[in-house]
Amino acid sequence: MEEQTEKKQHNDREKQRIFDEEFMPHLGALYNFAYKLTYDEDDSKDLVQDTFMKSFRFIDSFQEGTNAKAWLFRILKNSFINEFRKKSKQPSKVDYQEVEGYYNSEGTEKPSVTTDLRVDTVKNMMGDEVTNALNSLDVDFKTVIFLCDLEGFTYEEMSKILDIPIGTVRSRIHRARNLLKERLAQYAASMGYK
Amino acid sequence: MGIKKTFNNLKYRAGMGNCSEYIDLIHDVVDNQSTPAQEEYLRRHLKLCLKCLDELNLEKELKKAIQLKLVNQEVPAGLAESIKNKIQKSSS
Repeated sequence: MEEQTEKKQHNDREKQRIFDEEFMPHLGALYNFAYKLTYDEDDSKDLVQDTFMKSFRFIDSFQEGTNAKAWLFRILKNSFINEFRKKSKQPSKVDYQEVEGYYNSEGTEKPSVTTDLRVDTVKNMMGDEVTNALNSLDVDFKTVIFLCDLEGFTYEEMSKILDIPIGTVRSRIHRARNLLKERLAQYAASMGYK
Repeated sequence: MGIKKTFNNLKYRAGMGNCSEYIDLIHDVVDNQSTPAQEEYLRRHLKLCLKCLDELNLEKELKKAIQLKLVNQEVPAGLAESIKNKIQKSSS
């Protein structure tokens, strides 16, 4: 919100119109994002309500015609980090800063995680395996997969939503997918695929 | 641009660079983030490299699996109403 320098003052009626026409249509997508982050219905509801309350409070900072969905996702992500993530009992599984540094460094070879995983295996996976593999990832990796693959945000939009450089978005997606492939490969191996 | 860099760039465009140089491009293509010219560089490389072709197909299939198999959560009944009520209360 801080980068929106030109603020337009709206009257109450305009605020309500913008809220109903530009923000509310994204309720479903926001709820899904919240659920993928918290895995709790009540927390997701709180997070989404909090996001909409903030969006209304800062509605003068929103420029009509710009990407409302990305703007709302950014508010939700910040609320999650600032308020909800602190409550999370689950420790971070991966030091992703370290991983990103590693993947950003020149000459890094891609790990050989795909040797025992075939395209057909992925095709034959039930939804549960994919969901479980995704759930096992650190929340920062889950977030980029969700934003990119399910919501279809561009790398640039994701960079703005997450407040990270595009290079970091890219490396985080690569790392997240490699981890997913590792988890699915383990599952495939346990089922006898080679 | 130095001669070595120019030469490497030409090799890359001709699809004859090292596989590691095409990893970013594979993800860019899967995520629709690449330009038509970049897609052409990758196509040239894929004609020469089955390993990268496999990698591209696997990334595409993984993305498809995520899109098809991850079920969207239904928005709880009453949430939209509850939000609208809170907004009305806060603005009145």
